[in-house]
Amino acid sequence: MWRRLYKNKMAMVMIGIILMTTIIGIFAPFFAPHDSYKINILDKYAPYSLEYPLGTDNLGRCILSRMIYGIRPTLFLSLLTMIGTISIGTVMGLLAGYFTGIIDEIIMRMVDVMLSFPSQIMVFAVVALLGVDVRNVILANVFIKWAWYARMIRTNVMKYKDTNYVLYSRCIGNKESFILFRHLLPSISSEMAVLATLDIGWAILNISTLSFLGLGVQAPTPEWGAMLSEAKNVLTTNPNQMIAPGVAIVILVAAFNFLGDALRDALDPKEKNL
Amino acid sequence: MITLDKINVGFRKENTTKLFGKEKKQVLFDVSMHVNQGECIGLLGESGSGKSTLGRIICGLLKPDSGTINVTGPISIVFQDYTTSANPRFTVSQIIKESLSVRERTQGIKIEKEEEVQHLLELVGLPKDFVTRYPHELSGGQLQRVCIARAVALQPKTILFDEAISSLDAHTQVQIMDLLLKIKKQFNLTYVFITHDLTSVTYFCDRVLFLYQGRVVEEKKVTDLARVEHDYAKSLLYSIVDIRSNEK
Ligand SMILES: Nc1ncnc2c1ncn2[C@@H]1O[C@H](COP(=O)(O)OP(=O)(O)OP(=O)(O)O)[C@@H](O)[C@H]1O
Ligand SMILES: [Mg+2]
Repeated sequence: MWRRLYKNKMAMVMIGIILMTTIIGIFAPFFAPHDSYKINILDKYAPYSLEYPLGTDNLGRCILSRMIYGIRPTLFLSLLTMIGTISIGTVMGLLAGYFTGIIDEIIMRMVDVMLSFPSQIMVFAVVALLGVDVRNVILANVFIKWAWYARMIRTNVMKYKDTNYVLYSRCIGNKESFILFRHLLPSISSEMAVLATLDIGWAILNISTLSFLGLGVQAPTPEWGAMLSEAKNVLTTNPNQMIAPGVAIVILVAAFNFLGDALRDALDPKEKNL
Repeated sequence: MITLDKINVGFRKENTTKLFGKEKKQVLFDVSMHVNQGECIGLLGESGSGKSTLGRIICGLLKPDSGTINVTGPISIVFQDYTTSANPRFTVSQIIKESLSVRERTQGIKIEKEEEVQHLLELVGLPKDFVTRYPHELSGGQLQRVCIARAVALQPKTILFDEAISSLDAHTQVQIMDLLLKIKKQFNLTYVFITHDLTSVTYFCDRVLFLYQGRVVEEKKVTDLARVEHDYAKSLLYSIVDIRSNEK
């Protein structure tokens, strides 16, 4: 599987982009040319230059530095969201798919209810209810998204539950935990990897959207969505300010989506014998 | 020893006419059978007659709607489709160790697993260095031998074979059947042998049960096969006799 992924050029380029972004984000103080908070009104709306490679914003802050520091909340928060949704979704999906019967019935009706709310409005509702805060945004995102994953995982579990090796385990009376963690979980892990990758892309977009609307990460913290939000106020006078965060979000989200698709291809069992 | 008494099984119909109806399509009707310790019984029937369903009942994967089952001692199973009977992510050694750890737990003993795996591989006639291989690196016959080793590793009283050799070529079939006979003698096992192939039954079993549309229609010792009465059993028997006489 890794070998096939390794051969996939697209996947490798995407992994490269994502890794590079992560490293730059982690070592932000090392890469950023300026302090991301330092206001320099005299230099506001500076065009691209050697001093300010991506120019400055309406408060004269270095956009490149803010972009680099912005990687941290953008990536970290979406990772957190992804881990939250995937783990709740996996547990629920595994339980529903494996035990069926009444447990399945309860979990799936819960999922149905969750999925019948328009998700974006649910996020607004949750954030409005709990107060504007990044933690609440993550909570809201996990809250609306887990059901979707629970359903996907359940379908996958059902697919593997009736394979002969699981039937054998049940026939000889092996422990449920062995069947769940040694047979079923590894079997669905490849699908989960695909889901997780696509999910990060979705989470980045969603957190940026909420920050853009002023419900997520608050100014002056550098976050790509929040930066876009600031830029929109001066859209007519300084359109440059919008380009960097906008393009960056598109590239990063696209990278995760492409990687997800490449993973899906690489893990497709039908191509196993190639 | 296995005793089944008046087993009835039905599956929920997909296309029920009533909205919340619980219509069932019955698959097994009043099936009763008795298998003695050390016996090999053949379950013969055409496709869809309910053989696999009966097998699932015997090894406890399915609860009957009515009737009682009594199986003494651990039971193990070997499936027809060897491609899915082993977890593709497990090595041969891990596949066999699953049974060994269940045995450790039920018998409350400690097993030298590595050694035992080597013994079992030797028993089913596979080279010892297969332990690190994955299922897709084995041939069908070899993988079926691994499945047999896995079934034996449990030290069961009974092994159920659900068309275990049907998808192998004739030569391999004979080899596997000889292997099974050897193992049966060595461990004094009871075999339940599900198949649609009468020839392998006559080669292998002591007694035959004919299953036709979910009912046991005939039960005969292999030596008495010529005296079957039910039409289905007769037609099965004669079709083989016909082929034989045509060959001559
Ligand atoms: N899970 C299920 N749900 C609904 N119907 C089922 C289910 N399993 C089996 N059946 C039905 O029960 C009948 C008997 O199936 P079974 O698998 O026992 O046949 P079989 O004798 O093993 O056939 P084969 O020789 O093809 O393996 C079939 O008509 C099948 O459609
Ligand atoms: Mg069958």
